[in-house]
Amino acid sequence: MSGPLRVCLVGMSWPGYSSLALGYVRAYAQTDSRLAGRVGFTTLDLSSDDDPWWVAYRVLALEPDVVGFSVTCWNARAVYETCEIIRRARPAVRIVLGGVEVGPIASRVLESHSCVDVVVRDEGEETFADLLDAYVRSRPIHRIRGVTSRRDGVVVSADDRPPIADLDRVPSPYLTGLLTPVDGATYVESYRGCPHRCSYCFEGKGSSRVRSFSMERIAAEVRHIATTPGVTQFSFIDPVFNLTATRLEEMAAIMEPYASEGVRLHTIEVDIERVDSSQAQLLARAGVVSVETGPQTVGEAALAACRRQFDPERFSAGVERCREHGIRVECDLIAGLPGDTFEDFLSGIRFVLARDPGKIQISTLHVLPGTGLWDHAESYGLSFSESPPHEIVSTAQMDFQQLRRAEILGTAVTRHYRARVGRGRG
Amino acid sequence: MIPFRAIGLGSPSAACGACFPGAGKESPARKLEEILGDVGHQLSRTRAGQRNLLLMGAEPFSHPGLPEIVRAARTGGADRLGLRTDARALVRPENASGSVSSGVSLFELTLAGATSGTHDRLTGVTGGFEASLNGMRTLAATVASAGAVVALRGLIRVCEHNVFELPEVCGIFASVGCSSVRCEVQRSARSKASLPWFQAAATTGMVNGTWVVLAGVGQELLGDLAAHALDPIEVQE
Repeated sequence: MSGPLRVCLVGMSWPGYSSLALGYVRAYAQTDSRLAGRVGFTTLDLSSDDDPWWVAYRVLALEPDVVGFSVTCWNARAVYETCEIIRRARPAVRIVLGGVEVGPIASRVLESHSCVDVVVRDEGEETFADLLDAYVRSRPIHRIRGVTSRRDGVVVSADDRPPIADLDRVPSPYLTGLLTPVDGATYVESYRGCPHRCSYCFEGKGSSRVRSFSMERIAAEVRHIATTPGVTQFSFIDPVFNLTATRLEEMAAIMEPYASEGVRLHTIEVDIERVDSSQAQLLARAGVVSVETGPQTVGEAALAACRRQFDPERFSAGVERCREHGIRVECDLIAGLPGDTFEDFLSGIRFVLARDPGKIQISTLHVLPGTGLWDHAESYGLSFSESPPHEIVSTAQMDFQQLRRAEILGTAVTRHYRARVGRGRG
Repeated sequence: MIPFRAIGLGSPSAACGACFPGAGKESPARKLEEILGDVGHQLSRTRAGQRNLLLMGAEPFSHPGLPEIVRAARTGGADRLGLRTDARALVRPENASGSVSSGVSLFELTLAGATSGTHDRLTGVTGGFEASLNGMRTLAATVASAGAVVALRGLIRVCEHNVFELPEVCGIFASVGCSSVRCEVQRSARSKASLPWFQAAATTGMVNGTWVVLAGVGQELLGDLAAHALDPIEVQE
């Protein structure tokens, strides 16, 4: 090969946001000594609303050898369309996908999208670096752990790659300067995995084992972000910010110096039923202004199907404790969970309205690859769109029309609820 | 679902003069002191988070005390404040922007038909339909340009004289950004003959992302449409 391998990483999320996942992948690969001087990177952070033809145009203008996309259910359609165009315009370009939308169904993705060469399953940092190393050395890729690819036209999956045990081995995209903190649009990950196994969710990415970055690393990232001029708010993407009381104390201690200077954390996901006065105080100390939580549903059958616990009294108490400390709560409900009737859905709306949490978000179920609901959809009577974002069409309890009514009614309730005196701009 | 307490300002809003005695006829506005007393009373008897008021009964923009009433509600701690209006006055941008900036969080917009022929005849206001439409469009543009978190909602009193225009009315409300439309069905329209119009109105709302409420119709008549009896807002008069 003449010259370094040109790699273009493409994030397609929301305007103004940068892909943290691609930041990790690039930061890791850039520090891999095998690739030093042999691979050059460019990252394009675009929007899923961008026209795939122009995304392809921008990508191909960089004349890449490898193009990598981070794929979620929200951008998958646009990514696939972009890949089709790139493949036809420049057949020699290697197209690699990773992310929660494609990892759990890697073989299926390759079988149904001939334009895609490789799917990186699970955590991408080590696998993508190994893949690039193989490309640089012109070696076969089909035995690289965590890779699903084609061999002689047949889709083959190499062994799984175990999760990275020591997360600090993954360089910080912020501390390495790959990502620039942006006010209100910056996200930090303090751990991976999730102790809960809610069957509609893939936040834990199939792992209930929690692996944390070191507190020193988290503190360094927080310091860097919180002291960036113009940044007054950022967030954590941790599935449960109040994972344990001890950890919450540590996080509050890290955040407190910046919170006292006015830096705020927004939309932190918490287990609201654990929030007592002491936890609410810690959240406030950490500068948390808004938290996001369930209950997702209050129907007993759906709670059981989703492997979720729900104690209305503890939930209400948690909301109240947050309110006492000036923390706005966003309550989430999902329409179309298995077991939920239309009446259950209404009960959920009435429950959250009665709590007056500050914000209510009602969405319809998306049956995501890798989740329990995806694996057992048929036994739950779930019918959903095969195409991403895999929206629910009907359930055993709610037909198509009922679900659409639930969706529109839910939207009306949330819009009427959020319109308040003095709320001003949206 | 979300409770609002009604604060009466005086005369009724647009509706069919034949079916609703007094509709379209101006009656003296209530005294400002009485209204302010009502505002204070309703706010004091409601817990925080549920202090939602809807100014209704007369065209609020024709009440000289409107700015003071809005100010009293806001300073008194109202969580949500709504105006029920035929929107004619909102064609003046200063009314639309002034209302939004002063804290009004809900506009309940009234129509009596989907055409000037029906609307103007039922309300007795010549040119009223066009004026209302223009006011609604001005409001929608004001809300959009201000990026304000304001809810819009439609209201139509449905009788035998306008039921056939119900789907189109829902379409009009949806086009200006109403999240919900309340169709208050009067006795003369509560019959099987009206069902196709109810069905079409509900469907028009659904495909435009607007929830249509069919109020005043028995569940047995609504049948498959029973869910449309649900109203995101409950006005307690």
